[in-house]
Amino acid sequence: MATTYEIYSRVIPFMIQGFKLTLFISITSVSIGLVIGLTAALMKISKNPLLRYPATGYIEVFRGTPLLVQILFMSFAYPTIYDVLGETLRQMGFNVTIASKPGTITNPDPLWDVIIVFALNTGAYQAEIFRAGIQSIPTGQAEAGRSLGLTYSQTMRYIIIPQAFRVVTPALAGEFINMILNSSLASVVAVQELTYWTRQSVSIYYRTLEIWFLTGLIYLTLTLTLSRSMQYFEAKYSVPGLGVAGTRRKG
Amino acid sequence: MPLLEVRNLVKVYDPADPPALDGVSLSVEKGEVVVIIGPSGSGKSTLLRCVNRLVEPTSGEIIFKGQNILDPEVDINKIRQEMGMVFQTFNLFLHLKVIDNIRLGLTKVKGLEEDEATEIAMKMLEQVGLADKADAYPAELSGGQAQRVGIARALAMNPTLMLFDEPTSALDPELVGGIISIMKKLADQHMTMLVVTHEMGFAREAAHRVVFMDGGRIIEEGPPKKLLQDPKHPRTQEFLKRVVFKTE
Repeated sequence: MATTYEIYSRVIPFMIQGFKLTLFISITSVSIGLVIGLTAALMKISKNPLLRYPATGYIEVFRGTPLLVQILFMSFAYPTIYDVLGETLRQMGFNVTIASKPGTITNPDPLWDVIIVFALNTGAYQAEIFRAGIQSIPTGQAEAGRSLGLTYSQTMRYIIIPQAFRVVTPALAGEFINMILNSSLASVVAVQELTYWTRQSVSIYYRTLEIWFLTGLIYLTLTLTLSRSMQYFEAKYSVPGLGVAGTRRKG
Repeated sequence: MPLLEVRNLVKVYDPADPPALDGVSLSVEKGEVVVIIGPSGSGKSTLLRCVNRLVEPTSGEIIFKGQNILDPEVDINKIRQEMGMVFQTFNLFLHLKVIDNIRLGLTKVKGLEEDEATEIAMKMLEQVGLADKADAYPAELSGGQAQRVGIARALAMNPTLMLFDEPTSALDPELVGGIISIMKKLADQHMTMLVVTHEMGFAREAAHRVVFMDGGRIIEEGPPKKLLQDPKHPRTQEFLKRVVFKTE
């Protein structure tokens, strides 16, 4: 029987490959999710029902269904989505060749499908985090901005959102960590990230305990690094009297 | 022509409640200091907030420099640049240093260059005696200091009209004097001021006219000496009896 060292030396190159993809999926989804989340939050607090209702609907759907279901739905809806999307774009006059491969029931290369689902999913959670953050800022702040002659969007951009960001940093860090851990679900549709390679390695070498232990350690390292760096940024951008870091005052 | 003229202003927050403003008319001449007094819930803060449309009036007219600012065609952000507002709770931008609180409006609204804005901001801070606090954050200031920054921030925009919404109500008693003396200095410089306050001392010494409001209406108005010492209306008499006078 191979020693643990030998097993590790054989599986680690695959693990590194998987780790890279996990990192790529997480960073891409979280970044897109940040844009979606902030946009959806601003839409949800808007007075205009044409902005508010779609945002509310989107948030409720993605927070109200399991992520695994969303991934599988996207995966099996792939031929329909791609054919309909391609046809619609062609009818709008775009010269595109978006179509599913004939005879396929799922996308053979589902990486971007999965990233889109992850981004939409984390975007919905981030939207609620941002909304809570924005609404936690006292109305007097916006009133002071408007009374100087700033427009609504300037007030949001220069006054409300910078403050809201500081308030929600801990919650946002939690959501980023969630996203990293949730990215392991991509393995069910054969996206070759860390958990995928773990399962493959286990089925080849039958050394369940050692291999899953290694994988757990890699995820833990990743999330610990992230939460420490979020704490660093939180402290770096903290101002007295604002957010969690801001309340820890010296003296 | 008065600088500001409010005509028959009505504000209804909730149809189930009596209106917060029930047909208020008031005019303010250029250089005039008008003090609004009255019990809480009388509509005086609502009136002040309607003037720069932080609160949207239900009906009526507000004429500022000959223009009805309730007209939907009017760019209210332009109008607000000419009206400085000082708040009861200061409302300094918590994430910005004192100097940046003052610079924000100058750079983003007036489009001034950074160094020009800094120069004006420092000058304003010197005027309120807080040049040494330029790099402090609002949470590091005392209430009195914060309100002085609030006044400096409003004045930096070089407004035509200053609105004060109970500027001293959130302050410790020993800090009130400092704010009042800044406001008196402003009045001496012929700034047009509309002030909601409970500081009867300020009303008596600095106001050209005192307006008493109750139940969303103006009950009585007149020169401070007359209104404060010899009020005609029983509601005014009753209110003034309850207010503690500072007799120095």
